[in-house]
Amino acid sequence: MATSTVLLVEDDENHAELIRRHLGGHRVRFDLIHVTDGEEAIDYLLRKGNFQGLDASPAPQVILLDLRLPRIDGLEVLRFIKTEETLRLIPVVIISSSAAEKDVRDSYRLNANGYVVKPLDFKEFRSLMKELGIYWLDWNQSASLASPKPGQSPLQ
Amino acid sequence: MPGSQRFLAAALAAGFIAALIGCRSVIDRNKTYRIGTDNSLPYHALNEQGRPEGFAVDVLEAAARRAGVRLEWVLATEGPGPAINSGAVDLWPAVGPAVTQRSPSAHLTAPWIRNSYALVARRDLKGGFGEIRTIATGPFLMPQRVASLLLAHAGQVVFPSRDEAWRAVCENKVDGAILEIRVIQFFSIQPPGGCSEQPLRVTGLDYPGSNLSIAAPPKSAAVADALRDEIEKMVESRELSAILEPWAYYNADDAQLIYRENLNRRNTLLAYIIAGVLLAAGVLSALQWRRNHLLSKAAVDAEQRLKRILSSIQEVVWSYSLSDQKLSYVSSAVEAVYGCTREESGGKSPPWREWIHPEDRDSFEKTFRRAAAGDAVSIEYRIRSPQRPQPRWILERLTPVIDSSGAVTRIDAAAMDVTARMEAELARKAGEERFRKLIEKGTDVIALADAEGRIVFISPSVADFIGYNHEEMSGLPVLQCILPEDVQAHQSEIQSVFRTPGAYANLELRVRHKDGSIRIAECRFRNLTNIEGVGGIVVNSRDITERRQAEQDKGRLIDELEARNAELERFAYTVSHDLKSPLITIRGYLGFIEEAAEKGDMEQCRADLTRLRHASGKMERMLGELLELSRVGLVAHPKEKVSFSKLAREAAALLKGELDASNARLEIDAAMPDVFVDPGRIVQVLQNLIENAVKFSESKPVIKIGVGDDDVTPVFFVKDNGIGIEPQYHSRIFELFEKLDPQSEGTGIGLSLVRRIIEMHGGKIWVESNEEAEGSTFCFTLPLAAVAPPVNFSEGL
Repeated sequence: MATSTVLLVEDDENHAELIRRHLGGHRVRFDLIHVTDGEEAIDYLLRKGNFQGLDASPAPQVILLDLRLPRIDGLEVLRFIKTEETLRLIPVVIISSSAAEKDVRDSYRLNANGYVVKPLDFKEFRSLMKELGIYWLDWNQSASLASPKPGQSPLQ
Repeated sequence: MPGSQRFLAAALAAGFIAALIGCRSVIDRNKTYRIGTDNSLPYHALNEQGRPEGFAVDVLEAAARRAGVRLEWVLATEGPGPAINSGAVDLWPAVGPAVTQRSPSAHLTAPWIRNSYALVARRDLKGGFGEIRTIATGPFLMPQRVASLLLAHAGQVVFPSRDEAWRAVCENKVDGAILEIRVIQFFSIQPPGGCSEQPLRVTGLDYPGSNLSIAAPPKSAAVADALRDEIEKMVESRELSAILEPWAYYNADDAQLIYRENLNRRNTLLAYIIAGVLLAAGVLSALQWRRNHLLSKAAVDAEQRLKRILSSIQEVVWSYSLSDQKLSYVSSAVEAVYGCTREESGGKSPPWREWIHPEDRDSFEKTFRRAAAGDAVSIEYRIRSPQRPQPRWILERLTPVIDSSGAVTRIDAAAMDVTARMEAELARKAGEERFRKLIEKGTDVIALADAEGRIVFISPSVADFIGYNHEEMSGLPVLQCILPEDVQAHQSEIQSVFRTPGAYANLELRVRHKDGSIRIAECRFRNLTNIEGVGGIVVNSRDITERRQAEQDKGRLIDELEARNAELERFAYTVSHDLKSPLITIRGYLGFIEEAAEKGDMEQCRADLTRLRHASGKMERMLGELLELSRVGLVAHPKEKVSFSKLAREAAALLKGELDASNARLEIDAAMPDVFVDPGRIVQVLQNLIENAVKFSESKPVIKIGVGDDDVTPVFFVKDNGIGIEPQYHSRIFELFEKLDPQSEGTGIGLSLVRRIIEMHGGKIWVESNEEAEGSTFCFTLPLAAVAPPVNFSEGL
């Protein structure tokens, strides 16, 4: 079974570590690529800037996106992904500490594939991240996996 | 006049023919000739004492005296025709040619007076007689006959009195009325109640039956002609006009009311005659039977009716003989009007003269003397008689009577009680006074302009409004103080008001106060040139400057509040969201620490505890800075004049450790201007900006604090040689919790705080940074301490 790639866009180092430790429990194996702002996320997806030449770097099976990000805001990143022909089939799940109605609505309006609120409680956080990982990396059949050559970038 | 010449010729011819016919009849100077009357005032009637009254009586008595004939006036209510036929009378004083229909043998002299009628209609009736569908008359046969003859197509409405017929015309209940011209003349001078405003058109009517002659049965035809001849001579000697003059104003109310009583029952000639006979009989029997103490019920009724009729006459008529120095006649209304009895009034001088209000006595005497000198005059005065202590207003018209030599022999007068009208007039004047005061004391400005727009009147309150008093404004154009651009903007509306009677326009206009300030006026222009008593353009103005100001203030406050509210909402959202982040970290790693502790994995424990400490430290910093941020708006320190260079040095001193540690160089312009600020806050601003400059420098930071000129306002700046900021983030960096570098230690509150402080001082802050020049420059403005005007150094110095 090929190892999946997850792109995590999260400015808070500690949150990123929490997500990394919990995601998918012990059931799924994946490579987590963590970037800390919107600009970096787009650079990664377009193989630009610091990510130039990383041709082998696989397309993510799912993107976990925080909303409040330095430089380029989470919603802007989402808009970019969902309007870019080569990226828009990649599932984007918003992971935010905000449960504000406006944030949820704005995200779905920009075609987010899911929206979860970071729980305060440790156990809740752990089970949410476990289920989330299992769902998106194991159960869910995503378009990028259906490509004839798994692991090959759809951007090529 | 050809008419009067024809009249004269006809009269002479008739006299001549009568003289020829008169061969058969002779004048018997010993005989007393019975002359009939059917109580037709003002021509002829018997009064309650049985004495004849009326101008025909006066004329024929004078003629009889001249002819040496004695007359006896007899009541013949059956009318001239039957009375002549039956031989009840020898003469009839004044009658139309129609009498020969009933009494073919009657002899008629040439007519000696014309009882002329006229049609009275509302002025707006234009299409001639055809338009008149309903015609009013009084309760007299002659006008009714004229109406049915000349306006046969019209429906006739008989009113119980001439006043009511007149009123019916002016109230538009009927299309017109036929009345005697003498009555019309009287009403024109003294209109019946409620008709003074309505102008009426009078058209004379030509009706041959109104030429009145003396009539007689054949045997006394000579006497009739002799009397007619004497009348002719009286015309020439002007004696006739002297006799007729006092009667000109006479409005035969006595006769009218007597007829009214009877006509109300049945409006036919027969009923009228029968009623007249009954009434006459009743009166006569009452007088006789009273003497004999034999009062019947019928007599009582008749007497009471008569009294009521006589007491209801409102106007008193009196005649004062200047040669005898006494009253020669006074009518029964004297008691009602003056408050004294007829007997009391019979003295040498009208006794009511003593009762005239002292203030009015002089003018009465003066007026009376003018009448005695030959002027027809009228006067209003107050009177208070012992019987009627309540003061009353009297309107009196005095008419001098002039004899053939031109001397005034008599003064005839008609007087009426006009207290009610005068009181209404006084009340109206008091009302006007009240309105005048309201206008003068009111805060609204009322101006009246003529058709050229010049101020004819302006209320004194104008002084409070625009500083010029009403005397200064008088005669100026009404648009004088209005700003020309506002006049221009509303030109078409204003012009159309000036052009169109009745038009109006409500405008909001700015006016210039005498002191130069601009006031806002709410003006109502109204063209009342067509309204009598106004006749101009009326402008009502009200100062609404304060109201408008308050509205603007309110609008601005609402905008401000809304902006503040939105900011607060954003703040609450951001804070709740960003404060949650460290909490998630703390709770998350607590769980790991617990698990690690259970497993005894101290390595993991320590690593996670470090994260925990980190997160809680960050949270503490955020809370502290948020508190600081909220304080900026809450706690206001007094502002003071302070050198900006000094503030910069203070901030530098506070950061000495950090600056030294990063090997930074800080240059401060020593000659920066003084500012008027809260010094502690501005030091805070500089501290934040210097810290940022150090934080975002890659190598050895070089920081400059100085001032530059942006046109007029000095712009302070903090410039560094750091990494710079890309243009797209120039405004975002000042937002709460916005960080460009996720790895930076900052909370994202610093620049929000800086902006907040600058804005609280009324200044602006922005960042300048581009790829060409290295680093960033934070620029801001601040209020300056009041400075002396700059000195101009001219070349000579």
